[in-house]
Amino acid sequence: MSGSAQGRGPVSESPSQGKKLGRRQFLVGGGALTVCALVAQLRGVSDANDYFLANRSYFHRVHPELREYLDECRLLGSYYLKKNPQESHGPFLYRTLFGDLEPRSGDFLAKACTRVGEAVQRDFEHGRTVEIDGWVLARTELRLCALTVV
Amino acid sequence: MEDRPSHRLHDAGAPVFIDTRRHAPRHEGRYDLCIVGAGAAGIPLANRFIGKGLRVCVLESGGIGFDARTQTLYGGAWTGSFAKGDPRYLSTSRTRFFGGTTNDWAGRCSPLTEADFAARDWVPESGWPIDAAELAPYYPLAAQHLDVYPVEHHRDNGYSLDRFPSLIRGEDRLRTALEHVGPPTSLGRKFRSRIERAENVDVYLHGSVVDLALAADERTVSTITARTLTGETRTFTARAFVLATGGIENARLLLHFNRRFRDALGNRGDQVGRYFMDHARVTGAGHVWRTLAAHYLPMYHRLAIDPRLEHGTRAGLYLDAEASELYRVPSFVAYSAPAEDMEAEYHRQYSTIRRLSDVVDHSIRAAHERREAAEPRLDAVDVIIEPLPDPNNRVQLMPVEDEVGVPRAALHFSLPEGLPQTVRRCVSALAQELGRTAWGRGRASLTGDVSAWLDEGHLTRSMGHHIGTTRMSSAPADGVVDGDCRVHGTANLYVAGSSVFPTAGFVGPTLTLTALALRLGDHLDGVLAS
Repeated sequence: MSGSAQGRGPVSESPSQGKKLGRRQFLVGGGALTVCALVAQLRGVSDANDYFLANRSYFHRVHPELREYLDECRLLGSYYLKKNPQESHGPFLYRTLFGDLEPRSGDFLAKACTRVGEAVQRDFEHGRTVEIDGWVLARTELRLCALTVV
Repeated sequence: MEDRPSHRLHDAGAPVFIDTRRHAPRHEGRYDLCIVGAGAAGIPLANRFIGKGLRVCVLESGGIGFDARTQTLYGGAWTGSFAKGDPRYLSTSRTRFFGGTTNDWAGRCSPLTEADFAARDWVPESGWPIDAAELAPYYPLAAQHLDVYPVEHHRDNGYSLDRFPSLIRGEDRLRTALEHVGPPTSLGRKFRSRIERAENVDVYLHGSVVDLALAADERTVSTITARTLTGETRTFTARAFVLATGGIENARLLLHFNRRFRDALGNRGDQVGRYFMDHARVTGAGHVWRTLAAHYLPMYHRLAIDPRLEHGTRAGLYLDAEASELYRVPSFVAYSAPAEDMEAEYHRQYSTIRRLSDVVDHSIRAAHERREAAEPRLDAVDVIIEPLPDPNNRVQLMPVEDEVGVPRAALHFSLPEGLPQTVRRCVSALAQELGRTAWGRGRASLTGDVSAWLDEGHLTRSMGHHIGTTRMSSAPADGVVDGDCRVHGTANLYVAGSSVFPTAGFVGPTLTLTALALRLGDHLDGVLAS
């Protein structure tokens, strides 16, 4: 039942290298891997950004979980860097993800969230995705994870 | 079960449902229209002509109820990768008495999508000679016949899209497929009394069509002959004939007739019987981690109810034509259910659609209120995928004959070895769109080959959808019937049913084949009036 020609699809990464990614690991690692990624989801609602900024309490509830599940983020990041070793460089990843945003500025988080969220959606729009253990993830998401291991 | 012929009489004193074993045809067997088969296509077609001033006969092989001996006429051989299943497939996947297979079906219906009619270079042999717009006006009436409510076409009876909102806001590329589950309706039971009362429609029971004759021009069918299990032979003359005997039998009869007529009946291109299709359903093909934007999905989980009991509506996702082309995947739909408590959800609520519509309204309000507190959630994903037309999947004739002298059918049907890769590409495409629309993330979960999927219960052997053996085409070399369902090379022989579908989409065929039969009725009305 295969079509006559291959269309656009994610680049497949073999999960056989190292530990297999379980469902829970994905959920906590991929699903909550960054606050920024959550913003990307929220932007599916028309007033997502305002909604998000107006609901800091929600954000603060999520944020601590990221620290708790840092290991899962690292696992995803490691997968990505194995396939893309040329990106194993913190400043490169930071610049790619956040550009010239000043991390100590008061509005860094909000701007970073918006920026990354938009980048994630652009990744999906243009097919810049990677398949890990069947999950189709945006390259930007995986770069965020990679940032935890460099 | 031996049924008795009806004793209801016309004013003229003749029985309306005529037992062919005991009675010669009325009117010396002369009719304007002769419909062979009283199922999902034949009954709506006959119903279409009630009171129209034309004399119509319906020839049904079975009786009013199930009869085991008649059912054995369906028996044949089944080969191919699915043949490890029930060897009685040919005789158990369809029903041979008044009402046809609508006497035993699930009642699930949706129209084909616009993209399903288009020629797609990544789907071999795709493209209908008619487009979706030509069939669209007939879907509402077909839905009324079958007691299902595709909301796109039924705004007038209280069911509207407002009550069945899209899963995705601002749909583009990723569309919401709504499948409606009917009671399910047996057209035999539903239309029996109406057809019995019709003065211009005669139904002949217990006679199986075994032969036809061509006029001197070798294009016009002049008579058709039916034979009973008790050995009587009856001949019927008509101005137009319609084969409406099902996706396998239509091809079987045409192959049988063509032996005498040197393939003059739509088989100059060796197309009769080829391109048999049935849908593949893959359970647990993927997972979806959905996020806040997907707040309508739990509502549809509550609406998806056991189709054996009541009406219901379930929502899935499919790719529109643009996205299908972008990813170059066949037509498919993905349904989800909560991964952990799927069964419990499906069986929790039984109700009628009217009662459920109240639930919908309530759920929408509640969903909006809950949105801020919603949590990401994991769902399992099942996929129903369009079968790709393959000329090697085909109906042929066996050297052995059935009890009335028609060669038995031999069906070969294999799924391509590349099916798992295609399913993974479909789920991956879905996952990309889920990410793009900020709906969530998706995972193509299943690995392994077709054989493993069958062994592990991930793949259904058959959904009982018999499609494609007398496909519609513009050119005689590419198919069996033209855009009006008339058999190529003939003047007055037509085919009704899912056998004329060039491609199958991802939906059950019943609603579309009934709509096509009604469209054929309009065509015949014009032809016979002239």
